[in-house]
Amino acid sequence: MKPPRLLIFITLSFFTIIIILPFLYIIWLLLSDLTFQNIFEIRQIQLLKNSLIISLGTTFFSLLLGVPTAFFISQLQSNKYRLMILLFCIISLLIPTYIQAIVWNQLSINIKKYIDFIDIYNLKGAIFILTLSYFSYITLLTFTGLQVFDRNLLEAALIMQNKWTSLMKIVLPMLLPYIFAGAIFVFIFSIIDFAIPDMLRLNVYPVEIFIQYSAFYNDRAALILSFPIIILTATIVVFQKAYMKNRSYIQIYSGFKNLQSIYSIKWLSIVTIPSIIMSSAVPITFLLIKTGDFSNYMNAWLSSKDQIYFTLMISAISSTFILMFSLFLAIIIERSKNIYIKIIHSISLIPLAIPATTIGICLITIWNQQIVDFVYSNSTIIVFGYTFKFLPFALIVLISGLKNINKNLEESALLSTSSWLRINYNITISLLKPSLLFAFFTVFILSIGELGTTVLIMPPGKETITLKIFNYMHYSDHETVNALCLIIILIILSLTGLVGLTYHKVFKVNFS
Amino acid sequence: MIKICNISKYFGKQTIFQNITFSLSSSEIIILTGPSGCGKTTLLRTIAGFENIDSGKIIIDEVEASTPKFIVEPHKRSLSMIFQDLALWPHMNVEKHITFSLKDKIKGKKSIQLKTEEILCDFRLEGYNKKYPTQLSGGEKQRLAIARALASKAKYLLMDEPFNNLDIILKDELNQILEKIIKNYKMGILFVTHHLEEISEITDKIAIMKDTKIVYFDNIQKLPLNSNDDFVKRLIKKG
Repeated sequence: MKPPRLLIFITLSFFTIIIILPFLYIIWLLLSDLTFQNIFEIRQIQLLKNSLIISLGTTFFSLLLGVPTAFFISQLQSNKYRLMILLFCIISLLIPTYIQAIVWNQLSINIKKYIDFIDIYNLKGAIFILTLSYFSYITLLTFTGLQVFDRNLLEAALIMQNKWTSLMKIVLPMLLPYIFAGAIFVFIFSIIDFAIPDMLRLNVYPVEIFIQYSAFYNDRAALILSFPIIILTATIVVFQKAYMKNRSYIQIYSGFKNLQSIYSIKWLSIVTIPSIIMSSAVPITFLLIKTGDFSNYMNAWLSSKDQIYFTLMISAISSTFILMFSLFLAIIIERSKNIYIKIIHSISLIPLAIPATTIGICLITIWNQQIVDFVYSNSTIIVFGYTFKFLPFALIVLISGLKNINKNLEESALLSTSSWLRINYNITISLLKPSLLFAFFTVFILSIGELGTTVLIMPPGKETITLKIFNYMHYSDHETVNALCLIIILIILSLTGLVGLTYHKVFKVNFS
Repeated sequence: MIKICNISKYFGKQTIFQNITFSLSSSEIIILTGPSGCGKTTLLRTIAGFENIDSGKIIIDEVEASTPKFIVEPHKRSLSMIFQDLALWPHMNVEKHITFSLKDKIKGKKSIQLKTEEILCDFRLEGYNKKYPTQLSGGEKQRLAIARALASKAKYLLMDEPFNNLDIILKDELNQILEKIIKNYKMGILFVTHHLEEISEITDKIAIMKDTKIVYFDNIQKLPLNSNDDFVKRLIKKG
């Protein structure tokens, strides 16, 4: 059912202002400096090399950990254990990367007292922390693939060949799109990550872009610097979209389907359990131990409660706006066969490929003009920044949800009414509620932990908790930093619990 | 010969089937029928080795294949299976479906290639080598599923309602293929179906499952015409 023209016009206008405008600005800037002199300097090649080593290394090790972990989870007979391990994987994704960096930074200093050669202030250290932060993306996506895997296809193979041949020839090739999608997410997130390389003082693109802008005030050089990385990651994002075709990235409705227990889980646990613990339980436990007594929490809370309120408020406003915007955009994309809409779908995923610092510089350059000062002078710029950065996540969730809704349901409603609004409100949006909640939650959590864009676009007099932690870190106030990190994790976990409870009680999703 | 000796299967407190005993010899065809949810498919999966049993044993060619304590892997049971939804692998073309099941049985690339061509020809799939399941019609998919099952040269074939959702013309065509299998391959076939009329003419025995048990097992011609059982009455009427 085609959406009304007015809705398409309003949604696409917002899309043009928030997504296409900054994107066009980058392209215009690049085309206006066709010499690209800076790009081919030796220093640039070193930057590209470092960025690629980090992202490829992280992707490789994430695959090595992520895929066996997904198999391990799917083979577990006990629902309780399966749910518990999945929860730990989710927790590891919920912990913002800068918190992982803070923890492993302090841990390495402690370990270094006993083992001298341990040093995380290098590319290997960055790969290690980024792998712990991101391998669960591959786990969860592979697990999604295993959930929708038709068990008969495996059994048809098992009746002819042994379980390992069946795994290599049937299961893995069919899971490849999910594994590949996870690997690409990890590659992109690690190549554009700002927080970890910045804390480890590594020369990579996102850090260099930030330095060009904040130290040399050269926005043009900063944006031109991001050219190779944007081209590389944008190509990968578009390629990934084409490769995934109509497959869903996530499955919210289907409970846990148990793939037959044919592959031994004992040896898999040697790889998976320690990595899950290191990425989730270790950071939390370390922060708990290092923060010390209760007074440190109180001091941290009292000194930062305004920033915490502001962070929660701005994240909630941004998430609500993104949810509304992405809902209409998802309906337009999913229910339209127009080629231009398909192009818009591809463009909507490009922000995934742009470093956070580049997004910040673009927004400042575009909106820091007298005529549109109403955007830049207040928190609207943050909402715009988060929308640019996190819209693809909400879109991926909602489009996956829409794909699961049978179009016949809408068509059967058409026999009773021709009102697009009535049909979508009563049928589509009602059925999409679990996906809407998941999209809101995803964007909200990502907004709380955002650093790279926020550090550049924050209006004067305002500060998010992430920025406050970032600033405290430079004063080496470890107790306060640790306490604030724990408070953030506690807030995130409480929200996760609330969302889980809503799924269980309201949407009757059975987690066992 | 496959001997099913007093086997039972439970999922928690729920009984799926109990005290099932019968045997299937090579080149014999048995129809397994019964109302929906009576445990036919699970029984078939148990014989294939996908499910374990809680009591009794399954013996295949004088070797214990399933007991409550151990289970021989499906590919070592000398049997093949055609699934209800056919279970064709979407990422493999027609040729690869056949070579996958041939690889352990025949050595040498050229021999595998020749055998594949022969099987595809047998099932009128020649020229379809590079086509994927999504590019095949309903009948071609059915023929590919049967060809794949037979390529492994198994002695027994388990068929789980593979002719469901087919029109009459296709069913006739597949019946002819089935007759060919019986004639040329001399396999023992256990055929789960709701539709007795499909293969009643070429079958030897019938097993009727009801309420988790086999209530009738004998020659199909000896079905009691004056049975009081509703299911048997309907079966006779249809057959």
